[in-house]
Amino acid sequence: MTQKGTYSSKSRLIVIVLVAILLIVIGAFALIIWQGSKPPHSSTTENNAADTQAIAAIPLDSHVLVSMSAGEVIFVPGDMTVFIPAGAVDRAGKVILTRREADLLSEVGEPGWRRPYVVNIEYQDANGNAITDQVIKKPIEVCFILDNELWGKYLDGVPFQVEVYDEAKDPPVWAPLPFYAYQNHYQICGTTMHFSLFALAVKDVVVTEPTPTNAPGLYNP
Amino acid sequence: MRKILNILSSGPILAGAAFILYIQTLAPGVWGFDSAELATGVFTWGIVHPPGYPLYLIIGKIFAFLVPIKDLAYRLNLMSAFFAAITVYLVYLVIQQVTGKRLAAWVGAGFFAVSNQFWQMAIVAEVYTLHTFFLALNLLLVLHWHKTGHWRFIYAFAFSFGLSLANHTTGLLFAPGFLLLILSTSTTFLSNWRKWLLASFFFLLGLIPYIYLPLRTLANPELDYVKAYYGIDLTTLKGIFWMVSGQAYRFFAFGYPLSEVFNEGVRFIGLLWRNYFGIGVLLGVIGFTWKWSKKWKLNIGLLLIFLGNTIFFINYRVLDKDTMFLPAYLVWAIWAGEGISYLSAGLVSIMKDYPFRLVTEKIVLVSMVLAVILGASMNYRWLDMSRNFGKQGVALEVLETASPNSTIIAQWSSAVMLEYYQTVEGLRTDLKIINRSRVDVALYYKYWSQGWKPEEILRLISQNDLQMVYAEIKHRTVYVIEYDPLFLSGFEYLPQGNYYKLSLLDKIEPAP
Repeated sequence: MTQKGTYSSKSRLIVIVLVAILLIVIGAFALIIWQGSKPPHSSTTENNAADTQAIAAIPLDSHVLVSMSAGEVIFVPGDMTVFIPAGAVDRAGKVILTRREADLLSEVGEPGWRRPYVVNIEYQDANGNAITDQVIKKPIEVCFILDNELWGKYLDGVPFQVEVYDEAKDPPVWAPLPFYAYQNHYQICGTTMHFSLFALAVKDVVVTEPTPTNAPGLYNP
Repeated sequence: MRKILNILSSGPILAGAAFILYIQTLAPGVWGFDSAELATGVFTWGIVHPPGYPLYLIIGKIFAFLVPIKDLAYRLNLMSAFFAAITVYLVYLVIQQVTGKRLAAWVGAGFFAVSNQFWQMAIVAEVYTLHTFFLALNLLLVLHWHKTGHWRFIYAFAFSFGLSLANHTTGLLFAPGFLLLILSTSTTFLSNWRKWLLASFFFLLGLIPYIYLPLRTLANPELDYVKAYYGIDLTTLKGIFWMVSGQAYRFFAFGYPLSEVFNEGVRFIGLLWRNYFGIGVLLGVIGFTWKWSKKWKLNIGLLLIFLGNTIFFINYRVLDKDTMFLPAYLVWAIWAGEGISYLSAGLVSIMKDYPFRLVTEKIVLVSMVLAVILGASMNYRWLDMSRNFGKQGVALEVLETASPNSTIIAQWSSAVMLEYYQTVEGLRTDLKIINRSRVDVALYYKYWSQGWKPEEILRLISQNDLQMVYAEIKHRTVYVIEYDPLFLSGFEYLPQGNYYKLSLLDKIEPAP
């Protein structure tokens, strides 16, 4: 009886230890996956606000959703996505999203509006040459994903618009696009028939994003 | 099976695997920030930004000569990978020396090898993997001294420590830690003055690469950061001290008000956490605290090195400070290795009466090895730079399309890349490149030395930059790569692809 009891307690201990090890290993792996899925911070290899890029190949027969997060469909506050429907373009190429400086070219925009997110969308051929004469056959959807602060403003009724930098006008202007929102994804979107410079414009909202040159830093003390 | 496991868990295999990983993800060419400047410095035998990194420039020249692959920038990227791989091997040896366990050493060094900050510095031309190479080597030498008491390890350490300072002066921050580690073995070190003198001689021998600074400044190299922007004479001791002590960036040191220091500390912990995927931080805490009484001298020595690095750089107000914490991350890898060692030993102790204890221990260690591999695969997509050309595209676009004899005004990263192409590749030598960051920092230093207030200095710098553009635009076409609202007061931005041409507005120039 005593020996049986000892075996039983030993077996129980083994099971407990093995389960504990299994849980710790699973926990460790989960932690690594969780942390590893976050983009690491890097001042030297991370692109700054002026040149963050997302690139995606655009086939002719299927739609593509390009996100600013490494070209993948990841919904990150403050990020943006571009939906290009199948058949929108008649030449295969690649679309390049390039983040530009906040309030870029604001002097040509309507006064009282700020542009915290400005993105250049360019269409290139296989050799990297810009395709400027591309006729877009179906509307392309440009969406900006708002962070909590901006989304709160939107819900509070602060006017927002998605704008395109219309170079056809003389002088060029920031022109608003047909506008709608995806509430579930905190997205504000516009549709366009051009690849150009786009901005999320917010009326009377103070932009918190630092401008590239005035903030203290290594080369701008 | 045991033999295979032994081979796989050896340091050279780990270092070799890390090297292959770094090569796979290596930046394909010239990179921005300091990389391009260092490459131009290597090419011209030049004087780069303080503290000058003379050893890096010398080794870079030799490495680029010995490894004739692709262009200079690529070779220097490769050199970073090379020293990173050796660092990984040395860290492995250090942890093995401390714990006596190969798998614990493999896992600790493995986590360090795939940690994002170290990996990032292993794939671009930078001084940091040479810096960590020396730190790991010095730790290993001190541990050998600790173990054997042989003076030759102290002499080797003294020489290596001197050399490390000739690469990066901030190695001096590790001196208290090393001193404690040396003295905790034997205090006869101080009383034996002959050996002490000999060690000092070796230390001074290690500093010899600093002769590079006066010698090269006398040769008027094409790139001379210090003479051109600060007017400092590096042929004098005063000038050399100014350079190696980083006086030009003195205002960055302890540059945060107390209210911001806490946030910077929290930010560092966040970087450390992400760097080791959280799990390595927990292992490090276990390694640091467990059996404290048995190894407190070693831990205090390591802690002094860790704190020397972190306290200084947490308070250092620069943009790229995250890369400067690598020595602290390296020390943490040792504690993480210790943590793994204690956990596996604890497990064996709990299971000591059971037949499967060794198998269980191996399962845990193999799981940790898999954890390192998982970490590498998770980071791969963020850190693979093999197809990342950064600002190369913009720089080449500017060089291809800018009008003849025009002026390009750019911030640091773009400017040093343009300088690289001009100096190393000989492209568009007709263009005048103005590195606005260099000009501005030099001005900040000048006014700061004269006691001006920061807000006044910034105003003066803005004024200077505007006047600089007015002066240039009278004679040459002026382009800027980075948009800056400052110039809107007098100029119009005309987009030229990915950069801008400045056009003078019809306004009156500000008074000088």
